[in-house]
Amino acid sequence: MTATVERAASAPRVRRGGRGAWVGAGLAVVAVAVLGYLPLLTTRGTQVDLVGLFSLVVLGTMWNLLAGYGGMVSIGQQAYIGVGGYGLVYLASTVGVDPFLAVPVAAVVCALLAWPTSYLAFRLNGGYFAIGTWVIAEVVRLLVTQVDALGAGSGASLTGFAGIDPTYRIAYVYWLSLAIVVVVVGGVYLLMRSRLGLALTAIRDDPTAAGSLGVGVTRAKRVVYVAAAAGCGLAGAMIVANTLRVQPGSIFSVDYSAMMIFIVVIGGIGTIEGPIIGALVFYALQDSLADLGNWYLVVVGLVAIAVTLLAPKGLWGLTRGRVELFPTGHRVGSR
Amino acid sequence: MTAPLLEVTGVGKRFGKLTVLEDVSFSLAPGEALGVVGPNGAGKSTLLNVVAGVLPADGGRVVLDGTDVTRTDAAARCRGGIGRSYQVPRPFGGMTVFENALVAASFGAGLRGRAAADAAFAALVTAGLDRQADTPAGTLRLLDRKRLELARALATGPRLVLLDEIAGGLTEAEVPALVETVRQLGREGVAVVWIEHVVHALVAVVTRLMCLTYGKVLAVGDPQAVLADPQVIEVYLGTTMAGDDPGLGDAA
Repeated sequence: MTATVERAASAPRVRRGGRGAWVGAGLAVVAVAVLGYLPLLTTRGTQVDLVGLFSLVVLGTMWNLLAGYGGMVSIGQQAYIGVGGYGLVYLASTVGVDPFLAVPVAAVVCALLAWPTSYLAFRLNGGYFAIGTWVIAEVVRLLVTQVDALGAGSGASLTGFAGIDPTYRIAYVYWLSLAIVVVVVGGVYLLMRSRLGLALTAIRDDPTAAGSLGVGVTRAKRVVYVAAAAGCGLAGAMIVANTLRVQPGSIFSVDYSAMMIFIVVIGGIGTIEGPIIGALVFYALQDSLADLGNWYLVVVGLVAIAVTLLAPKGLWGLTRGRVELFPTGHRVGSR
Repeated sequence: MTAPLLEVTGVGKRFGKLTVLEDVSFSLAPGEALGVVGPNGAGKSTLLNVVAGVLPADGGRVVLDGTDVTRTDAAARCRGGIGRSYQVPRPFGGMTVFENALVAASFGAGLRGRAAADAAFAALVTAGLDRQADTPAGTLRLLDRKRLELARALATGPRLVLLDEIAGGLTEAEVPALVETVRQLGREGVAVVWIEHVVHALVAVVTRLMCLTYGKVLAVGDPQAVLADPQVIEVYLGTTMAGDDPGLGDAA
């Protein structure tokens, strides 16, 4: 015991990064710089398509935060996607807020809505929680379709951009969406490196043991639920700013939850890189199989089955943790 | 005599019609170590769960340092000074050994940054896991998982430690080191409740011994006296000890 006591006096330095972090940061900077320059090179159609990809990255990252880190399998995030989309339209078209300002405000509205909702949803666990979130999303959809000011069942158009030339409007929406991706992915990265991230990782692995070690499990989950609602609200606002149209049937569609689950499971749950890869895969499938009609869903299903069988931890899981572009762990160098 | 750190009064616990604990009372002074023995199913682990707040008591009171914590959840009790180990280890499998201890030091002890890292590493050193600090906890073998349970309990900076069968499976050379660790806790004023089937380890360190059977306290007091009690010999030592050591080996 005496030898070990001496070693205790010189506890090793904790390392948070490594070479991967520099590679990851470098790749991120290059990717954002290239993507940021694209509107000067590409057509408007390409930019509109890429905003679609950006919304998938945000949605996947948010679902991963919920399920991969918070242990909350939600199939009702479309509630916040819809509130974000409708919030943008209402604020910009009816209230008269600048649409670019209305996007973050709509996300704040989602967070304010999610906080009291969490007290309802957290009464349920596991599969019941999943169904409960879906029910909540349906209730929100039905309520919205009752409001004539929001276009009731037929939806509404975003008119706040009327004074801007379409070329500029599309580029601005593109840059706004790129900025949202940076904020959301970067925010989750910083969150997972923080003290709260340590708590969430423990909760993911064993909530009971985490509680026994002093972690405020419910509080940490609530923070995640509210943050994920805000992020999904940003994605919803992004989608509507891109298409200029919001309809209850599509913006509150449970298809969004299916997409989010696909993206996270294919890319690799519980990693920051996974949802980005999953979003790229889903986007590529969507893009290349658009002509197949309903067969497209069959192919997507087959890909999901193949990946879960061959790479149960998702595509990023194939790196077996040897590559970490966004490292969140704590290493002391005494393996 | 110093004021008790832990006072358990008339605690009961039922699962449906099955009464697992009935009117269990004991108190513990700072620095005191209480050993708990009894046959399997006697309610020993349930008692720890009720004290730690993982299971709510159906009756009675749990008072920690003068504060009634009967209705307080496990996380708050941990922050209040109760560190515990699980009989069936519950490591955070996706985190490293060091990160496991860091969770305990950060949230149980409320430490931050350097202080949290130092406390976590010191706990690993005490538990003999410092060489595996960067190993994913999910890949540890049973014995190391038990060591990790001890390390995490210590890293919470406890005033009361609840240990649930951490000696089973240790080699003869390792038991004295563990006994010395528990003794050191006592010298630092930390109270210990230790459930163990390795009776000679218990007797080496505990100041009192309690024998539970069918959820009731059969005998409590001086360790040698309790072990010599004919009833204790009847229900625990004499009849069941030979085959009664489920913690042995690395088989899990």
